[in-house]
Amino acid sequence: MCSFFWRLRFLRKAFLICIVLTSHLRAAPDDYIYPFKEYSFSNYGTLGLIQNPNARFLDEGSLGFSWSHNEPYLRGSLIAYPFSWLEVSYQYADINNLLYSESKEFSGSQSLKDKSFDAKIRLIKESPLLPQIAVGFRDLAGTGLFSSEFIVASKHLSKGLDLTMGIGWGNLTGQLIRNPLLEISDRFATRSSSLGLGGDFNVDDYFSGPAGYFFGFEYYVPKFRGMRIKFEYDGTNYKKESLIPLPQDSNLNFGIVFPKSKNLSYKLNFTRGNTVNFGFSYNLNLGNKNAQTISKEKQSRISNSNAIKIVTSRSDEYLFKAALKYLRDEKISLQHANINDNELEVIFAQTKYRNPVIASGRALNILDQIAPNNITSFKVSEINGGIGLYSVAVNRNTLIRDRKLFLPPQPDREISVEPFLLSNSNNNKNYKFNPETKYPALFHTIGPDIRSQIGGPDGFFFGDLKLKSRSELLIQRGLSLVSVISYGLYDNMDDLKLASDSVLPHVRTDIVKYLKESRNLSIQRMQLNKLGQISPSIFYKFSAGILEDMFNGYGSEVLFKPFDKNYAIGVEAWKVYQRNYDQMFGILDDVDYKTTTGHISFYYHEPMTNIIFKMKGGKFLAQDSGISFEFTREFYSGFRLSAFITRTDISKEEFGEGSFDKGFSFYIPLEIFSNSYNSRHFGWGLKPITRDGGATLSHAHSLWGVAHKSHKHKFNRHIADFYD
Amino acid sequence: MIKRYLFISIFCTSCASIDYSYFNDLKNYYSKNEILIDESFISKQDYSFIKVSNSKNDAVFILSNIDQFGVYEWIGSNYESIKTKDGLIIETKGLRSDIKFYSYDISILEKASNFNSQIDLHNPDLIFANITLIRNSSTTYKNSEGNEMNVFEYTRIVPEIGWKAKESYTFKDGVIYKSIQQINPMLDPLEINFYFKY
Repeated sequence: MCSFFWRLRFLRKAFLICIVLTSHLRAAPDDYIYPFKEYSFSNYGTLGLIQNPNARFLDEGSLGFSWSHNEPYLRGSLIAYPFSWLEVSYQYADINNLLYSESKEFSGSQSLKDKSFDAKIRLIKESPLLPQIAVGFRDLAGTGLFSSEFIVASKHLSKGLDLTMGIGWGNLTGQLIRNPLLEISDRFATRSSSLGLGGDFNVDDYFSGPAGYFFGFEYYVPKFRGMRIKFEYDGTNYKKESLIPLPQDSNLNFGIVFPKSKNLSYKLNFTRGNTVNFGFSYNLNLGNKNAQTISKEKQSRISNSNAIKIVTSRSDEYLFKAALKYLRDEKISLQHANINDNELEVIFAQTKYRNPVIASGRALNILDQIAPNNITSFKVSEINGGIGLYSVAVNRNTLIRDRKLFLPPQPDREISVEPFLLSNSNNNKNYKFNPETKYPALFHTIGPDIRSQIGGPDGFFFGDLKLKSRSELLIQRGLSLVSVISYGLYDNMDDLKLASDSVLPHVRTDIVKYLKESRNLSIQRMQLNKLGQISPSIFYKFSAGILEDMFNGYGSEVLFKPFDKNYAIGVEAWKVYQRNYDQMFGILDDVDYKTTTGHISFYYHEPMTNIIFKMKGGKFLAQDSGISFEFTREFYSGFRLSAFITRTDISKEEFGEGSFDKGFSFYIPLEIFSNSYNSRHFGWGLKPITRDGGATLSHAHSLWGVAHKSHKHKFNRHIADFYD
Repeated sequence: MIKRYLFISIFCTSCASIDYSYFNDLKNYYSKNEILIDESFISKQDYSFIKVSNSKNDAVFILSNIDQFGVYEWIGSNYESIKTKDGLIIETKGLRSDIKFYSYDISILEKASNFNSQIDLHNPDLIFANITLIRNSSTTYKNSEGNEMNVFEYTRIVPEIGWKAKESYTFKDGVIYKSIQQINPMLDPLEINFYFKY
């Protein structure tokens, strides 16, 4: 009996081991048999089948672009994944069977353009038994031309087969069924058929009216470089979609997707039984560490380290000069240095490393290689302009031991990370070594710049190519002049004539006048800044000059941001004068618009999800008062996705098209694409509609941007990069 | 309704400004990082080396060892290693994806036209898969300097994962000169130029 149970247990163990081994061995070839397994985009520009959506998502931190031509639509989409359960997209559709307006004098023969936001949220994650289920919204806050809602389920049925079925409302009612939500409430009985003002959320219409069903599958062809076949029963109601019903000869659509690489896919489809369409999509994951490169450059060892230590042991002066030289080789600029009780202290400034953990880790690594053996601990502090950012202190033996073991040091136990106050007491007398910094120092870049005006009635695209010079003149520590000057090389803006219809002061809607009259030499910014610090937690800034494209002025900003807390509070106030359209030094004489604008801002960085929440209340540029909410997800790589909405005390009618101000932006550190570190970034923001309500001043060097670069949480989060 | 919508759409304009001053960073990412090998570069090298190129990067590997089977081991700047025999990559370590042949007794120069072996691939992993190299053609000609050039065209087949790729090996006076081969079906082919110093 005992033997029987022993055998049974043995067989059970053997069975489990076999399962584990076989699953490992089977999983590996699948990566080759079904390569490029990223889900593909539908004609609507979000992940899906051909016309139908599905319940799939890309990894969080992914950013995609999709383009498709499906008569009568040309559609381009930007798709972002702030979380693995959330897909948001911004669509631009050219509808070529409708005119922009009936007035040829106004918009010529230009076809109709439509903008929309889509969102999809995962409700249930796929498991061996359950499908993945998501709820989605198309044309969420647009004019409602394509508005639909859906609940969709997707399930992997076998290795290469992904089945999708769902129920839709709005335009997804090609195959009508009774709205199941009527069992819950009668409020789902009717749906408004009129098109809205645009920009507002028509919550009452969501999931209302008749419903429809759709289904389909995506089949991954094995051993065919990731090619997949799509087939679907189309849920689109082509009588309802758009403004002119589209002929539909068949409910069945089919297509193929050819992945060129992990990032790039082409697609070819046959829809409605009468239309061939095609498109492509490109997506990148930008959120992970080394998201687009294998690794970053390693810090090179100093080859004659032992010889240097012998020299630096002879005199502190030699040690300071060696630190100055070898830190400079790493693009770290030593500002002050000191030795106290066998501790070498270095104050440095740098612009190469975006991540303060890497900057301080590299500085400490260099000091360890050149300092004589009697130095038992190090302290490095980074400053930026007139602001002290942080100090890192570490015992030398701990540093050496941890580096050998590739163990990141434990903050607060093995390294001490503290705020650093750069005040008047940190003057040259307090440090033994103070290399001379030559002021004024000029930092300067020059490059092309493109400005654009897209989708207006005068034409789809107007833009110019300018040569842009950016410079920062450091007059003394903490005092700088930031200038952006550009010179037009080419533009097509002669026919651009759309005038503002805004009933508010034209603080933004005179954009066309600014674009047209600043085509030659223009000054985007010439801002004098004085940055400083009252205490380790209180930062201040005074600025004056040409603050942005449309306003001159002066003002101040104060930020309270404790180093080891996740919140901050800021106050700012500005007196501004509207600039002349030519964007030179003058102000608008005929309008003579001046105002005082100011805000109180509250920031909170949620450390688990790394969402930065910003609430900003006060008086805006057009003298409207209200609150702006901004949500930013910051990924490990530094990639940030942001969205904001602003509601002020003006009515929807006063605001005009769009109802209220809103938009989104990306911040992409360029070192993601490079094998070397650099602190440059690519920032891009978009507001669907340029209106005057809720407009804020766009001045340079915001204190939050400077202070948030290095706070305690950043060290906790990135400490594994300490020896990078 | 149409009029109303179209009137509203008139104001659906967006304005954006893109700063292209960082274009170089993106250009570098998408363009090839090339290494020029000229007489000066060759003369500065103390040891034999290879230039390994894919569509994005060039890299130089230095000869570190030749074993009794005629396998050459080349080491890169980050200690990556490539082992070649008559130009055929039979083992790599430290690349984005690695390959290892189980059998080293393969020679491109041998008269037999087909070779069978087993390979491991890493990232993604594939263990002990059968591989066949089929010779499609061999061409001999003299180059402008009078050297005898032999070009062997092969097809690499790994049936288990449907990997089929063409590759070529060029010999100059019987010594491997250049090869183009794929080490992983998900990666670009590698072109290797050999520079021997005796």
